[in-house]
Amino acid sequence: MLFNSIDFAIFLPIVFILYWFVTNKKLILQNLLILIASYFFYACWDWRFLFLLIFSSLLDYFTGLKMEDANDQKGKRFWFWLSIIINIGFLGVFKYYNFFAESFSEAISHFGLHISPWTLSVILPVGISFYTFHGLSYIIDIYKGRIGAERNFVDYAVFVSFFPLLVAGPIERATHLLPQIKKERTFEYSKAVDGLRQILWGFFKKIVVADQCAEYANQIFNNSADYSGSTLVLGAIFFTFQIYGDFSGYSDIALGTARLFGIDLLRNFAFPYFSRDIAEFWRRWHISLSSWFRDYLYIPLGGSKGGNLMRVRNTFIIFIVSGFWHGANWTFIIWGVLNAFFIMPSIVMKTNRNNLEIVAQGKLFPSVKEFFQMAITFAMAAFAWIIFRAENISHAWHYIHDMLTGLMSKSGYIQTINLVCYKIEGSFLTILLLFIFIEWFGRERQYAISDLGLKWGRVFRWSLYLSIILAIFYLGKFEENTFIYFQF
Amino acid sequence: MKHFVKNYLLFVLLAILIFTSINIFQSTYNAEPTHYRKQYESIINNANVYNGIIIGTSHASHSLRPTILDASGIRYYNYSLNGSNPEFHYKWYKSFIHYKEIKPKYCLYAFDFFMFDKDLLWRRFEQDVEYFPAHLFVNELLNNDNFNKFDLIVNRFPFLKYRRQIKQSLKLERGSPQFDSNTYDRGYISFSIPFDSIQFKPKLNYKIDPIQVGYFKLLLKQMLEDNVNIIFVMTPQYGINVNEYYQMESLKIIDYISKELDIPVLNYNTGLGLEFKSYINTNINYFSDWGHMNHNGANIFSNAIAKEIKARTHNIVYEK
Repeated sequence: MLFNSIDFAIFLPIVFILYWFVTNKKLILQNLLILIASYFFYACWDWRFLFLLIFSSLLDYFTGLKMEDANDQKGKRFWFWLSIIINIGFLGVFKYYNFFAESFSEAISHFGLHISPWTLSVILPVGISFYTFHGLSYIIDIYKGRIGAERNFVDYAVFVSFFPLLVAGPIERATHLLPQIKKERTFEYSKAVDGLRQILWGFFKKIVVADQCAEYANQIFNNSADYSGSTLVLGAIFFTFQIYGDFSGYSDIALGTARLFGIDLLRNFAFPYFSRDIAEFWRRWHISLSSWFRDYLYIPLGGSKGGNLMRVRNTFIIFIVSGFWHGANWTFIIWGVLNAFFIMPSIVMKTNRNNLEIVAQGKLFPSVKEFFQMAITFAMAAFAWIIFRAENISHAWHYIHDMLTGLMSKSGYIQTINLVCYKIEGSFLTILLLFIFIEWFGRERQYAISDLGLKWGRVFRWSLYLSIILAIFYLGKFEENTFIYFQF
Repeated sequence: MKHFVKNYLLFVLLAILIFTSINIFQSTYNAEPTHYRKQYESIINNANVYNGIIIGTSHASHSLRPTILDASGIRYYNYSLNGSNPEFHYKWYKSFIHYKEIKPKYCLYAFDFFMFDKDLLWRRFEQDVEYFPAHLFVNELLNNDNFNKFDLIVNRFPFLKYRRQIKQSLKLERGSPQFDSNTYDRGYISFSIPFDSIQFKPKLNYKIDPIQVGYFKLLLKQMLEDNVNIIFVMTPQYGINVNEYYQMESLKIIDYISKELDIPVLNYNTGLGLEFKSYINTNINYFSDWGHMNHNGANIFSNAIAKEIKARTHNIVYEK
C-alpha cells in the first residue's frame, strides 16, 4: 500500500478511529491493533512476504531472549552471531545473490571461462533492508548491553513493523522506539495537528515537487544521448530535487502518520541541500541510515580514534557499504565511493565537524561565502546523483561525458532554453522556486512548515492549508508513483 | 480529542464545499468538446430511439451525419469519439450496449488504417468516466481491476480532470473552438478548422498492436452474437495514392476479418465494395485536413453512404 494511494486514504482514518476510540487507553489493545494494521498494510503489497517479516521478527525476538538468558559470554556470542548471520543471509539471498552470481560469472568470463549462473527469480521484498536493520540494531544493542531483551512479542513486533516506517524507514532504534511503544499513549491535540501538517507537507513534496521533477528527469535521463551538456545538467538538477522531494516527502508522511498515533519517529532529513560541505550533507541526508552506519559500523571499526589511515579506511568502508545497502548495482557502489572521495579532504584535515550548526542561523540570508559553499555542495551532490540514477555504469559514464564535453556548445544552451521556456510548465518552475524559499525560511524547524502560521487566526491558517491542498490538486501528478526508496 | 475531531470535520467540510464549487465551475468552463457529454447522454438515456450506431474515430464523428443517413431507412446515432481505438470501442460497447435488452440492429464501424496504433489513438475508456452514470462509475471503481483507481477518480471530477485548463476556465471559455457546435447532429459535429496546407499532409507511419487487433475481433464477435448487422466503412481521406492502401498491413487484417466474418466493406478510398462510384476523396474542397472532412464534405459523404446502405439493406445484407 502506497501512502499516495486511495487505499491508504481509507486505511489511515479507519486505523486512527479504532486506535483512539475503540482501543483507547488500553495499551495492549492499541499495540495489537497497530500490529494487525501493520501486517495488513504490508500484506497489501504481497501477503507471501509477510511470513518473512514475521519470521525475521520472531528470530530477533527469540535470539534477543536467548542472549539475555545465556549463562556465559560464549552462549551470548553464539546467539548473537546466529541472528546476525541469518539476518544478513536473508538480505544476501533476496537482495544481493543474483548480483554476486552475475558479477562472478562476468568476472571469470575475462579468463575465458563461461558459466551460466543459477539465479533466483524472486522479487525483492519491500522494506527488507529497513526491517532487517531494525532487527540488527536491536540485537547489537542487546549484545553490547545497551538495552535488555524485550519480553513482550507484540511490543517487539510493533517496533519492527510499525506501518509508517515499515517499507522505507526511518530506520529506528530499539532504544528510541521501544520505550514509546511500552508507554501508555494519550491523545495530544497539538501532536496530532502537527502530524497532519507534516503529512500535508510530505504530500506536497512528493506529488508536486518529486513527481513533476521525475517527469522531466526521466525524459532527460532516458534519452540522454539526444540532449546537450547544459540540458543534461538540468536533468541532474531535476533528479536532485526529485529524490529529495520523494524521500523526504515519504519521511514527512511517515513521521506525521506516526505522530497521529502518539509516536515520535527519528528525524530523517534536515534540509540537506543547505549544507556547506559534504560532511554536513551526510549529517542531514537520510539521518537514520547515516547514524546507523556511524554507530554500528564506523565506531566499532575504530571511528576517528586512530590515525589518518584508519579514518580514511573506515570512511571508505561505510560509504561503500552504504552504497551497497541501496541496491545490488555497481552504480550504487560507485556512488558510495564517489561520496567517500568527496568527504575525504575534510576527514583528513579534520574539518568534517566544522559546520555543525544550521547555516545562517537567525539570519534571513546566507553570507556570500555560505552561499557559494552551499552551491558547491549542491553541485557535488547533484553530480553524485547522476551515478545513482543511471541505469548502469555505462549509462552514467556516457551521461557525465556528454554533459561535461557538451557544456561549451552554444546550440546546447539554446536547446536548454527552449526546453525551459516551452516544454516545462511555468507554473511548476514558480512552485519549485517557492518551495526552495519555503524550505530555506523553514530550515531551523523540524520540517519547513512546522510552525508556519501557528500564531495566525484560524481563517488565515486554514487558508494556508487549503492553498497547499489546492496546489497539490492543481500541480500534482496523480499516477500513484511509487517512492524511490521502496526499491531498497 | 473532541476538539480535534470537530475541527478536522469542519475543515474537511469546508474543503469539500470549496472543491464542489470549483467542480461545478470547471464542469461548465473547460476546453473539452461539448459534444462528448451529449453523446454519452444519448447512449445512457435514448439509445433505444436509434436502431443504428456509428462507431469510429474523429474521422467518423466529423463525416457521418445521422439525419442525412435517415434516408437509408435506418435511424443512426454517431457515437464516434476522437482518438478512440478498438479497445475503447469494445469496453464502451460492453458497458453501454451489450447489457441492454433492446440493442441496435445496425452498426456502421468506421475503420482507419491506423486504428490498431494505440499511440496515435490515445483515448482510454476510463478517461470518459466523467460522463458515466454513478452506478457504472462505482462499479468500475470497486470491481474492475483493469482500471487504475486513481485514473478513474481523477477523470470523474472536473476539478481534477481539467486542472491543467484552469486558465481557460478562469477566462470563462467553454468547449473546443475547432468544433462548430451549431452543426451538431446526433453525435456528428463539423470540424471547423479551415484548410491548412501544413496540416494537410497524410501521416502514413503507424504501428499494429496485436492487443488492439484482439479487441477488434472481440468486439465484432460480441456484436454478431448480439445480432448486430455490421458494415465496415472507411471514410474518405485526401492525398493518399490508392496503391498505398493496398500495401497497408492494417487494411489487410481488416480485409481478412471482414471475409472471415462476412462483414461488408465500403472503402471510399479504394472504391472497394461501393455500388455507386465515388470520387469524394479526390476533392480537396471536402476536407479540413487529410483525414477530417469539413461540413460540406460530410454532407456529400453522408448522402453517398445513405444510398449505399439503402441498396444493401434492401438487396444484400439484411435479406439473409
